[in-house]
Order: sequence, then C-alpha cells, then structure tokens
Amino acid sequence: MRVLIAGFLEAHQCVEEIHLIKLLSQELEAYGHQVDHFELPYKDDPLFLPEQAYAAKSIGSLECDLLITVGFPAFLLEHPNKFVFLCSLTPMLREYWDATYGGMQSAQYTGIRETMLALQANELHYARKVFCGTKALRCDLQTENIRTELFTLPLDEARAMGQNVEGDYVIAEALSEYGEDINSLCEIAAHSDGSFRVRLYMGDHKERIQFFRKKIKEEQLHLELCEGKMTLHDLRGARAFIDTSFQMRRPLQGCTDAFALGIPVIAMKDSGFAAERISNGKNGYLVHRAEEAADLINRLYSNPKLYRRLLRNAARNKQNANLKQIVKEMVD
Amino acid sequence: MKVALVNMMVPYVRGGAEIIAEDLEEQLHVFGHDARLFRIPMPPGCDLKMLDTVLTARMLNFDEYDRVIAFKFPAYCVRHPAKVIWLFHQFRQAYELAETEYRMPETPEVHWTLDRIRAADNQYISQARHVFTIAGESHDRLKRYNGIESEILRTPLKNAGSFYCGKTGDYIFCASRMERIKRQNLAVQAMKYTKSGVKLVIAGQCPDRGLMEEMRAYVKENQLEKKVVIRDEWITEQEKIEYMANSLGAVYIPYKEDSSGIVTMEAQYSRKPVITCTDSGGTNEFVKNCATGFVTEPAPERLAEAMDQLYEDRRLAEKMGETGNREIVERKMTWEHTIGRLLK
Repeated sequence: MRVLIAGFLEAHQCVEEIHLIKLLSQELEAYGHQVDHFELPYKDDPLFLPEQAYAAKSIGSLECDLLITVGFPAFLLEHPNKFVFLCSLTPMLREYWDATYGGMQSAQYTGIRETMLALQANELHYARKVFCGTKALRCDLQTENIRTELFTLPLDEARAMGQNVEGDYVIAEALSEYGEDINSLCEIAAHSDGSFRVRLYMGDHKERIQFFRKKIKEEQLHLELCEGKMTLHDLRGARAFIDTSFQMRRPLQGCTDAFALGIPVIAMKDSGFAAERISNGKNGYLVHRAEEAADLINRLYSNPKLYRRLLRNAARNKQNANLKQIVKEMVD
Repeated sequence: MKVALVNMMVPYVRGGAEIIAEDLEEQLHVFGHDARLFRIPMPPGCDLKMLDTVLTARMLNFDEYDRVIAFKFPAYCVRHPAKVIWLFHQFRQAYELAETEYRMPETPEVHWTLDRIRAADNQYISQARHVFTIAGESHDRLKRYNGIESEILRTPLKNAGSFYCGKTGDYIFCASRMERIKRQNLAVQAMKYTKSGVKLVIAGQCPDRGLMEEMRAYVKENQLEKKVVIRDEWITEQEKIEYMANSLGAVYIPYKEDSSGIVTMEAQYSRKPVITCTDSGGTNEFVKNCATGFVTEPAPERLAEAMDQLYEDRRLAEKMGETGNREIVERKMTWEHTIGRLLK
C-alpha cells in the first residue's frame, strides 16, 4: 500500500508532530508499505489562518492509497482514505478565545473563527478516524459531534539511553507564545528556599527572554532562563519537571519524556495534558497554586526518602504508548 | 539563523535534487543553523492543477524564518523578504523541452498553463534577494527565456570522501533515477553495438514501468543478458560506492541536464572516466572529451565505441579517471563555501 504522511509544522513548537511523523513512517515501513512524507510550514496566527487553510485545500488530491495527516491544518487535504492525528488545533480561536491574550479581544477574529471552525468540523467529519493527543482536545471535538480516539506518544528510545542525575534544579519549557504561565514559574522560583532553582527553556522568543531576564534580575529569582529547547540530558539532570500550562491541548513532548524517564512531574490542576497523565502522588503531583508547587519541591529536596518513593512510583507508573496498535488497525 | 528550505516533491520519487536538499539541511545544522526542509507535493499530470501549486506556494507562511532557500518550480514562488533561489531547474516543459519529444500534449489548456508558468517564473524568480543556479545550463536558460541573471553555485557532494578507486573492472556503471529524459535506455541500446567484453550495470528507481519493460525487452531480444545488469531499485549508498569503485567508468547521458549530475561527481571522486553526450547539458562542464572521459553524439553506436575504447585501453581509462579527479578536487566545491553564499 502506498502511504503518504502530510504534516504542517509550526516553527516554534513542532517537536511532537516531527516525532509522530517519524514513528508513523517507521511503523508503516515495518509492515512493508511504501511510505513517503512531506511537511509544510504553519504560523499559528489567526490573521494568517485563512490563507494557510487555502494553501492546504489547493493542494488537491494526492496519489496514495492512505493519507495520514499530522498537525493543523494538514487535515484539510483531500483524500477518501484519510486518518487524522491532532496535537492541537487553533488555541487562540478555541481554548484561549476568551483569555487575556485570546482572539476574542479583536473583533476581526470573530469572522475568521467562524469560518475556521466550520471548515475544521466539515473536514474532520470526512476523515476515517481522528486521533487526539489529549483528552481535553477530544472533549472539545466531542462538543462538535466529532468522534475521536486518543493517541499516546512514546519516548524516543534512542534518546532514552543513559542515567538520570539528580541535579539542583527543576525544569520547565515555555516554547509557545502563550499557554504556559511563566509568571507562575517565577513565583515558584521566588518561593524556593535556596535548595533548588528553576531552569526554564524558552525556545527562541528573544523578546520574551529579554523581558523575563530583566524581571529575574530585579527580583533576584532562583530562575535560570535558557534559549532553545530542553534536551534529554537537561531533563535527566532535573529533580522534577514543572508544568504551569493553562488548559494545554498539546501532548507536550518534554512532559511525555519526563513521564517516560520516571522523572516526577508537578503540574497545575488546570494544566491540561500533564494533569491528564498524572496519578497524584504516583508519577507526580497536582497543585492549585505556585506556592504549593514550591513547597512541594522544597520538601523533595529536604526529604530524600520522599523523593526516592516518588521516583519508584514514577518508574512503576509509566504509561504505555499505543501508536503501534493504532498503526496495526489502520493497515488491517 | 532559522532557515526554511523549500522544494517540490512527487510522492515516492527520489533523485539527486532530493538528496542535495536533504544534504543542505543536514549541513546547515552542522554549521549551527536551525534548518527545516519543506516540500510542496505536485499533481501527477501537467494541467491546470499545476497553477494551483503556485497558489499553494504563495499562500504558505514563512514569517518565522530568517531566510528561505527554494530550489525548483513551484517552490521558488513562495513569499519571503529574504528569499534566495538556488535553482535546480524550472519546469522545463515550458521552455526548451516544449519543442522536443519530451514536450507536454499540445492542447489549449496545456498551452495556457505553460504560459502562466512562464509568467510566474518571470515574476517570482525576480523577487528573490539573490538567484543562484547549479550549473551553466540552468544559468543560460534563465537568462535566455526569462532575462534573469544568476550566479553559478555548484552542488558539493556530501560524502565525497567516501568514494574511492578500487580495481578497474569490466563494466560501465550508472546509478540514477531511471527516466526517459535521463536516457538509460540509450546506454542499454549501445550494448548491442559493443565489440569488446565491456558490460553495463545500471541501477535506480524507475517510476515509468513502460520504460523498464522496454529496456528489459531490448536486452532479451538482443541476447544481452550477459552484458547488461539492470538493478530496478534504489540501491544502498555503500553498494553504489562499491560499484563505482570497481567499475571501468561511468555513463551519464541525460538530455540537457541542468546540473553536472551527481553521477558525474561520484565517478570523478572515484577516479573513473565518464561517458556523456554532446547534448547532455551540465555534465559537459565536468567531462572533457578524451581528457576526463568521452563526449559522444547521442547515438548508441557512438556510445558503444567509447565503451569499447575504455575496455580495450585500461590505462587510458585510469589516466582519464585521475585527470577527472584532480580537476574536481581543484574546484573546491565545499559546503562551507556553498552555505556561505546562500546565507550571505
């Protein structure tokens, strides 16, 4: 069977899509299918959504027996035998619509929102199956009468080799323009008793990095800002992974890697993806406020027994990926 | 620097242009840049849908990238203030191939489509910050048909150091995607006219199954099974290196190829002579007749003479191979230089 995988990649946050495309290709090739893939760019800005949607629609029909789309707006590609994988949709028009940085603040976005939501609903209905990376995204689509299933990204096994090293920092990532509450991370750092610092990776958002570097200096926070993305080496050196996202629909690779490596995850209760995956007290903790997170981290550093117990539980509660099973069902 | 590389793609078809684009992506990472390769899928035939691909290219958003480097039609139609074109080739059926056997069907729709493609080329190539072409052939075409100046920037071979010279074997070798315009069938036909014990080994993916059937039928009808080996598949890099290392020489005879051809470079890095044709285009920039190989008329009899000559005079073959190797090394085609020019 000829399989084509089509992905749209957002410049700052597409690790999950790239990983997914690579894994799907490998699994399908293992079944002996002829696989090819292509990727196109995507900018997550409401003003540019209509033309990018048009770009996807104008590609027309593709010569393959099975089309797998990854990311937004790849599912707008036409094919009678289409499977859709979604890491996220359009947060500014959906879950963050009425947030302070949401699309609702601008009247011109309302028309764009209506058009895009109608387009999305129409195309997703035509897909053979739609897979979402989080339960939250599934719920969103369920309200639009779109049936979906969940996919779980596995750890990249080649990157998993090595040992965890319990360093003097906890780690976090804030790669998108919105969605991660960096102020909460600053609060956690502010409440550190000095036994730990927060190491935060902010991608290449230079202006934001500059802004927060100034804040850290002024308030003398135990927070270390890094450009670029977190590596597995960085993650292995952390005592915990912190997630202060707000209703995150995206299955964050950094968080997935932390779970898979048995590194405890501390997340806000409304963080979205991380909160779905945490079994409280087992592979991590859910907290209501930043002070609670800081207090917990301070205790992890001062109480090695507690930390060891959490590590053991985290190692025992690793969630299995289901991608192999999904591919098997797709090709059967 | 954040760099977007933009190419076109035909599903399940892979050739030199794809390899070079991937090599460039890899080398950009080596030189510390954040590079990503994007590919615009092409429709199967030449009809009005070709113009949709121009629209697709125009509607894509590359704002998050500092530089966009595009290689082929319609990828070079994308919008970006710092767009650089490293032109592998245009849609040649709209230009010099329009008067040849490789032209598109002559219908009013095709005519109109090709006209629009030429207009798009004129407009969108001119918008680039800088235009490079991979060889003199594409440079001359761009000037002749579109009036656009360009700088020739040849493609380095990523794994040039992997190629070596083994023994001087008894076969002429070519590893390349098999297409009518690459004329592997001409090399197969030449074997009928050879008088020596020279053999031919060709390898590569052949999307045109009709072409493969024709070549196999020709081999059978002319009882050339002992002289011709056709590997109907994309062979591994290591196999290709081994084949080239132990060959008598290489043959690369496309029709008016834009570039010198990866086969040509691989042969010269392996110290092997190259047989090419007078109308092969870019390969003639690298192959000097009777010095680094043979440049013959595109006729099976002439090709056969060149193959026989190499077979009967192994020292000549080795001497030509050494000369070709010396010349390609002197060209100093490195990725450092190439990336420096593309990102300047």
